[in-house]
Amino acid sequence: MRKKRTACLLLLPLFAAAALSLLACGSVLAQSLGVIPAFGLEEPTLDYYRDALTSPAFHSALLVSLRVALLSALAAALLGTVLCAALVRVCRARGAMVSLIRLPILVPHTVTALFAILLLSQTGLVSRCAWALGLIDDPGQFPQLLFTPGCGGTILAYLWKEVPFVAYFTLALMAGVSATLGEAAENLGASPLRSFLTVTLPLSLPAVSQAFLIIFLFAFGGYELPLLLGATVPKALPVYAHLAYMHPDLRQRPAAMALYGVILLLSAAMAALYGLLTRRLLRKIGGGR
Amino acid sequence: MKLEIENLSVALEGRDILRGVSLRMEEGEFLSLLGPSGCGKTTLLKTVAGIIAPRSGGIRLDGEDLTGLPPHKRGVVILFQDIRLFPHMTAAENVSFPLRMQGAGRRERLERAEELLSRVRLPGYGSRRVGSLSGGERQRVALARALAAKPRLLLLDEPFSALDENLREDMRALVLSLHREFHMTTVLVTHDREEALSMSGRVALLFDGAVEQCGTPREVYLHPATRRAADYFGGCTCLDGEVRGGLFHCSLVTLPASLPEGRYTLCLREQMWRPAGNGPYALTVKEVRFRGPETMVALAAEDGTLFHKRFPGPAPFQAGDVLRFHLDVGDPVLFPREEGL
Amino acid sequence: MRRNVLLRLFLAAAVLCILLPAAVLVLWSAAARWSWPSLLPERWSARTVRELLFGSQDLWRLLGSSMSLGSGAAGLSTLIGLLTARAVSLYDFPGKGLVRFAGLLPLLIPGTVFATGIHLVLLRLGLADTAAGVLLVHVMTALPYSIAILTDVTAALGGALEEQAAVLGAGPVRAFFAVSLPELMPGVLSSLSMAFILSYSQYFTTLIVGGGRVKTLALVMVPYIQGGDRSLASVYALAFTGSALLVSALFEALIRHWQKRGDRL
Repeated sequence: MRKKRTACLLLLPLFAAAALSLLACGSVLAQSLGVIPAFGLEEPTLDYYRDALTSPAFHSALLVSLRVALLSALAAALLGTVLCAALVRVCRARGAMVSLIRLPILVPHTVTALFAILLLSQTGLVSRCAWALGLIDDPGQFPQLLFTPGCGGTILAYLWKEVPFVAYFTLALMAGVSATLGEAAENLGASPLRSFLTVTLPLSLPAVSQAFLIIFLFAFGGYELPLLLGATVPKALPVYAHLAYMHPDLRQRPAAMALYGVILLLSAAMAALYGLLTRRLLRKIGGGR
Repeated sequence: MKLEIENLSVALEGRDILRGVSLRMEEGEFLSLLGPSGCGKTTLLKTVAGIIAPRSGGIRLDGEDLTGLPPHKRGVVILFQDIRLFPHMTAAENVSFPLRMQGAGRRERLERAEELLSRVRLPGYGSRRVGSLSGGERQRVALARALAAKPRLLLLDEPFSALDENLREDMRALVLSLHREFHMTTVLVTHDREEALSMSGRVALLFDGAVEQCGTPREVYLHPATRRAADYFGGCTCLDGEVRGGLFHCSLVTLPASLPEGRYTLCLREQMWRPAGNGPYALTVKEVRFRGPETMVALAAEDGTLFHKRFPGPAPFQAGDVLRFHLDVGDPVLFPREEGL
Repeated sequence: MRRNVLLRLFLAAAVLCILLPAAVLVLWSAAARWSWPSLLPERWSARTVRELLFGSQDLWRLLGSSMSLGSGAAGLSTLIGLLTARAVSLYDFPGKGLVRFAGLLPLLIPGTVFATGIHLVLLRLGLADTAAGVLLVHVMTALPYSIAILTDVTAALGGALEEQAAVLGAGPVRAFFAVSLPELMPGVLSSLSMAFILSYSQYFTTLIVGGGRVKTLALVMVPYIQGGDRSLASVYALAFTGSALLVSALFEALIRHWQKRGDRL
């Protein structure tokens, strides 16, 4: 009995923080339903959601965010897994290389955006290298990656941070599996590649898929990179929502909150869907723990 | 110190681990707690030390009720099976840890630590790092550290099981000589029958969270209270029979038995069989296994009952040989027949 | 063997991708003129460094506020992380799944929604637009990482050494500090480092919750990135990442020192 009480005491700060997080979500949702007593708005309504969901500007913003999040997360999961495998096989998952891979995780998104500007703009370093190689004669011939609806620059900037993240996140699990079961598979006659594909990779999937969810949700709700690298029209959903939030007319507030509400609910739905899918997938592989 | 455990029950994660354990120990006694793994031995130690809270029952040390006291105020020290030296301290710092907790000065602590290290035959090891010690040395440092706490009650949790066979005998001798010297009440938890029988003044058999039998090694071995207790020491064969008119009858033997009439089981230990050329029992050798200092021979009686007997050295038998034996039952061990066993 | 060659090439490409931007950053911050298609600047200048040190922003105050926020967030997040890790790994109670969920919550809520929502809550608590409010939000952001790191090391160490210390006469608090903490130190340092970097890098949360009154280097840097002056943007980014990596390297060295100590034992 005493022990249970001690555990509760130890958990008090965590629960306080969690309560604040939930209150934060609750406040956004309440305002998105038009309940802002300070402005004299007290009657809950779904009008703001209806307005948001039927606006064409919202549709294009949603598409931009989904496109960026999905493409960057898929590519990062793929390349990150390869990077992780390279770290495990070539460096035995330790040493200076691992510390180096960690660097992009520590660099904030704002600085990453600057990197993208310096390297990927039409007058950036990559374009200059293309000129030096004789591929282009004029900056205008270099593909426009930044500030365009295609969001190529935003996706590449996310990749720069997320590929190392996936690799780092998966490293411990994959190194452990590879050193024990992967080795056993090779001992039983599997080539290194087959051993990786049939044993190490499936058993590392829980970490990869978790990393995928984290970066997908992050890119979907991320503000900095689309703000600094995205097109003026259409904007990514979080940028669009924040712009509406900053509107000087405070009566626009619930509309902005409805946009945040959509971001929140979609993220929650995707997390839940992910939970369902992976649980089934993991059960199939038999690697679920 | 005198230890009294009364009707102690412990449940962990909703499972009953100890069910009404009662034990008494006199000052300076050395008791072995013997039982198969999972019977609750370690739980009993941890409960006495205050690491696990009991569901009911009492623990008293020299009349003082321990149940409400936190572990660090009980003066009950456990020497854990996994040794648990503090890896960031030297051997001397480990040994002087309890003295530091008692507020002793640095000089005094280190002097005492060196002294205790020489008692466990590790003189001059004080400044050694824990990682540089061998398994046996670590165990001895842990023993010195336990002694440094001047425990009112010392609990040894399978302290020899992690050691090599040849080190084990050394450590047993060391523990016994230290027990004679410091004369503190000591409980040894073990699943090694010979260890329990040879080291302690009394043996308590713990099965399924309850004390099956408690007595001197001779009592427990020669007069097991139950069939389970008899089986646990091994080397015994049980024969079903019945008592009628002051005599026990079974297929092999008839013995005098002053017991109420009914169905009984006779427990025969291997040493009751005495080889003799003119013995009345003819047993057929079924299997011979050479084990170094002795040879284990499986023998079958005419009705098929199988016995195992050890012979010293490389016994010159082969499967199929017929040997003759006398049977010296002496004081027979008879249990009322347990149905379903 | 051929497969390892491919993997090696991949690694080399990764290293190039990581280091190239850093080199470009250094070049740009010292470039006076670097027009397309030159691969290196044509003229150099210290203008940006002068602007950084003596320009419109007070660099030292920015560094000071960023560092103190980061240190505070690192300390608090690690402390709460330690408490949570102990509860989860060493105690038995129902509803551990709930605790895990509570720990992950700030990671699952989209950043923009979290910042805006928590600003509303802090407005009601009177903490909006204050350094304390920003500190609180930075702690909440770092907490999932601290909890993850510290739960790993606490669970790996377990309660065995503290049990031993207790039966040797050490009270619970003393047992923790004398026996467990030294063993947990690498994890504690990792958590401090991670939480510091996270707090140091926060942009959107500081912007919203600080309401423009709490200024950090990460916050002030962004308008320069948005503006057209690549040299000035680079010098600020360089000052920011340089100071962040310096702190991170310091922690890394401490961790290595501690682990080496552990190996010697």
